[in-house]
Amino acid sequence: MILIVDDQKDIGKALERLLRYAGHEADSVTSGAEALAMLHIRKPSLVVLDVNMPEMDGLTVLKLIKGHTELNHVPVVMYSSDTQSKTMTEAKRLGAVDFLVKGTIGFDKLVARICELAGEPKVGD
Amino acid sequence: MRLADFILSNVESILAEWDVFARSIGAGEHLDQLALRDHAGQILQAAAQDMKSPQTAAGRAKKSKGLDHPQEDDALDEASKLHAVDRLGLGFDMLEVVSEYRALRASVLRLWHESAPGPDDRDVDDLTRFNESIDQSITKAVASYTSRVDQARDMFLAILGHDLRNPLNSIGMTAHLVPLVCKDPAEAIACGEQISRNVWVMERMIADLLDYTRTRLGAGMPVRPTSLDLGSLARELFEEFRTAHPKLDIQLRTDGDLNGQWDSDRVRQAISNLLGNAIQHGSADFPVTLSLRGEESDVFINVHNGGDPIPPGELQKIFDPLIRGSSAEHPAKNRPGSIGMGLYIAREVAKSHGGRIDVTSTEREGTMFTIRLPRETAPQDGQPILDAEHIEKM
Repeated sequence: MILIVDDQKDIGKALERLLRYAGHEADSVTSGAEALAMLHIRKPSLVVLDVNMPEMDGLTVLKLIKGHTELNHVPVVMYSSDTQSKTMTEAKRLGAVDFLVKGTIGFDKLVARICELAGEPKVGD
Repeated sequence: MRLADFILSNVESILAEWDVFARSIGAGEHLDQLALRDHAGQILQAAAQDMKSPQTAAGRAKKSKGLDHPQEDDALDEASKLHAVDRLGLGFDMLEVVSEYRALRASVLRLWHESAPGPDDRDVDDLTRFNESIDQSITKAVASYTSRVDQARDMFLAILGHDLRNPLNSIGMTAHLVPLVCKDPAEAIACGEQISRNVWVMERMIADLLDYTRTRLGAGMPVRPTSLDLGSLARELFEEFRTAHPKLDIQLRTDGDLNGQWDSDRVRQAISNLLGNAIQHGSADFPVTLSLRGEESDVFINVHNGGDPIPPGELQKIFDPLIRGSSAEHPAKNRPGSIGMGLYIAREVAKSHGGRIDVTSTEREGTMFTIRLPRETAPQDGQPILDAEHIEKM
C-alpha cells in the first residue's frame, strides 16, 4: 500500500486514483498526525509526502518516521511544490529517497517513479 | 547656540512639531505618538553627534559622494534603516517617508531660527553639516525601504506561485485520470467535480489578485450599491460556514436596523474573508462570532475569535499581504484557496463604501475585526461607483 500525505485533499485523492489504476493499493491523508497514526496500522510500502502542510510540515513528519525504530525502514518520497534547495537538501539528509517537484514532472513519470520506489504490487498489498 | 547643540537640547520640541506633520500624512493619522516618533529622535541625535565631530574639506568631499563613513554615521545609518522599515510596516509609501524628512528638516531649521541665534560665521557650516546628515539619512532610509519592498514582493510572488500551483496540479492530475475512468460514470463525475472545484479556487485567487492590483494602482474597488438587508446576508453566510465547519461553534447575533445601500457581492466577500480568517487563526476551543449592529447612520459588522492574539506590532501590517509577506510566513498557513489577501480585500471593501475596518486583539478579549459601513455608500476620491445614475453620467 502506498500512503499519500498532502493537505490538499484533491491532490491526494487524484494521485490515489492514478496509483490504483497503475495496480497499487493507495490511500491518502491530509495531515502529518493522520499519517503517523496510519503508518502504525497499515504498514505501507512507500510514503509520498508533501512538505508545506499546516500544523506539522513534511520535513517534521519525515524526521519522526526515520527516527522511529518500527517505521524507519519505510521509504519516503517527497512530492512538493517547494523548490528551495535547502528544503531538498534537508529532505535528503533526513532520509527521503527522492524529491519530486509538483508541476515539473509529468503525471506518467510521476506514477512510474512512485511505482518503481514502491516495488511490485503484492497480492493483497 | 550652535545647531547641533540646539538639536540635542530640543529633541522633544522638534519632534512635537514634526509629529503634527507626520500625523497629517494619511497612514499616520491613527497612530499613537510613540509609534510616530520611534526612530526619529535617534535620527536627530545621531545627526547632531555627526555634526559635532570634526570634518576636513577632504572628508566633506568624500561624504558628499557617500564614500566617507566615520563611526558616528553607524548610529545614523542604523536609525534611518529602522525608521524606513517601520514606516513601511505602518503603511507609509515612499513619498510620505521622504516628505517626513522634509518636514523634519523644516521643523529643525524653523525652531532654530525662532530661538533667535545671533549671527554667527559658523551658521553656514552648521547648515551644511545638518543637510549632509539628513541627506545621508534619506539615502539610507530609501535604500532600506526599497530593499524591504523588493524582498516582500519576491516572497509574495513565491507564495502566489506555490498557492496557484496546488489547484493547477490537482486539475492536471485529475485530467490525466479522465481517460482511465471514462467507463465508470461515478468516477468520471467525481473527476469533473474535482476539476470544477479547483478551477473555481484558481478563479477566486486570480480575482483576489486583480482586486489587489487594481486597488494598489489607486483605481479603487468598483462597487455597485443596491438596497440590501445585511441581516439576511449575514444569516446566509452564517449557514454556509456552519455547514462547511460542522465541528466549530459559529454564532450569529444581529441587532437594530441592518438595511442600507451597499454592494451585496463585495460586502459578502468582506464578511466571508473575515469569517475565514477567524476560523483559520482562532482556537477551536472558542466560538467564532459574527455580530451586526445597526446604528442611526452606520452599521457595524463584528467578527470575533478567541485563541492567540495578534502581536501588537503586527496589527498595522496584517491588512497588506506585501508587507506581511516580508515576515516570510509559511505558505501553508494560508487557507486552501486563499493567497492571503482576505484582510486586504475586506479593508478595501470597507473603504470603497466610505467605511473602515479596525482590529483589536488581546489575550483576554480575543481578536475582533470591526467593519463600519455608512448606510449610504460614500465614495472616496476616484472611487468607481457602478450604479445606474453614475453609469448614465459616464
